[in-house]
Amino acid sequence: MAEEINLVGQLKFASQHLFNLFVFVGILYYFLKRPVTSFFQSRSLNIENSINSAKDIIESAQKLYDDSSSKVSQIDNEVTQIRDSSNKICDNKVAEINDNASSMVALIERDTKEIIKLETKKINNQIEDQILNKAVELALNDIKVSLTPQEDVKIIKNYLEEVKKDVISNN
Amino acid sequence: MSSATINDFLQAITSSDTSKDELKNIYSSLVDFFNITSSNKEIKVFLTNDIYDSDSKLSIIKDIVGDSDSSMNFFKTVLDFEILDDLISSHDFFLKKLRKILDRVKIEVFVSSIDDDKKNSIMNELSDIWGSNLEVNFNVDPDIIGGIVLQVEDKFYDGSIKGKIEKFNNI
Repeated sequence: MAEEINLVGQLKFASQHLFNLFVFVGILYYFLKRPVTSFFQSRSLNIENSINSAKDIIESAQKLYDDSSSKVSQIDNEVTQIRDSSNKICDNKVAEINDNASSMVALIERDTKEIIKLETKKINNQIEDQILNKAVELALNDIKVSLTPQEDVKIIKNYLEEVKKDVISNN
Repeated sequence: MSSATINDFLQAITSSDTSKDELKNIYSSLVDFFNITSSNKEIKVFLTNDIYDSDSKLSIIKDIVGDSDSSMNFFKTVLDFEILDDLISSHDFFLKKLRKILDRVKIEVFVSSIDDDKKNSIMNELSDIWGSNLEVNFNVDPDIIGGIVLQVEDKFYDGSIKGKIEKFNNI
């Protein structure tokens, strides 16, 4: 019996608390419904705005990326063109320099051959001159030793005959 | 005074009534005078220096050329005109002109050796060519080896062995 009374008491206690809880929840719902709804709506709007702004940023970034890619591609093309052009110019220059060098080499070769030819001729002439001078020197020494006074007088007379003819023909 | 003045002076004495003998006398005096002034600098300096009077200079000249009237008159006139310095400096020109007037030919003879026979032989030949009115100076030059070299006034005749060989060498 006592136990039944205790159980009824406990149920009563529990129902009172449960009622209090419902009342409390009702009060909470009544007072917090609007601010919470408003808070979440505002938050949702902010998130949506943020998403939109992020989309815009992504779009503009994409556009910037596309522009930059296009410019990079254009610059690549220009660089390629410049490289090709400079390679072509370089090749032409190299060819021109090679041609000039070949011409110069040919010219120098021709001049060198000419110089060698002339120097050889000059040295040959010098050698001939030296030999001739030596021969003349020897001949003069020989004549000096072997020339007799009679021969000298004869040479003088013969030459004076030539001079006489020369003077007469000039007069 | 310029050589033109000397030339004028020469024309003046040759166009006057000076005889050929007097001119010959003047010429030989001049040759002696120029020989001395060429070899003796002190005499040359004395004669060309204005601080000495004409009488002193004439006295020295008399000692050099002798006391021939025509020669002394000539030198007196030269001193009066103050052209002794010019006369000395242009003596070759003056003597050449006088030789031309006197029909005299000056010949310098160069031989390797000389003796009387050779000298006479050469003189005969030279007289045969240029006549007897010659002024011949013989010079010995062993370097010519043989033959003869003549300087007839301004003209050279090279009949030496050395000259012939050099001529051959140059060919």
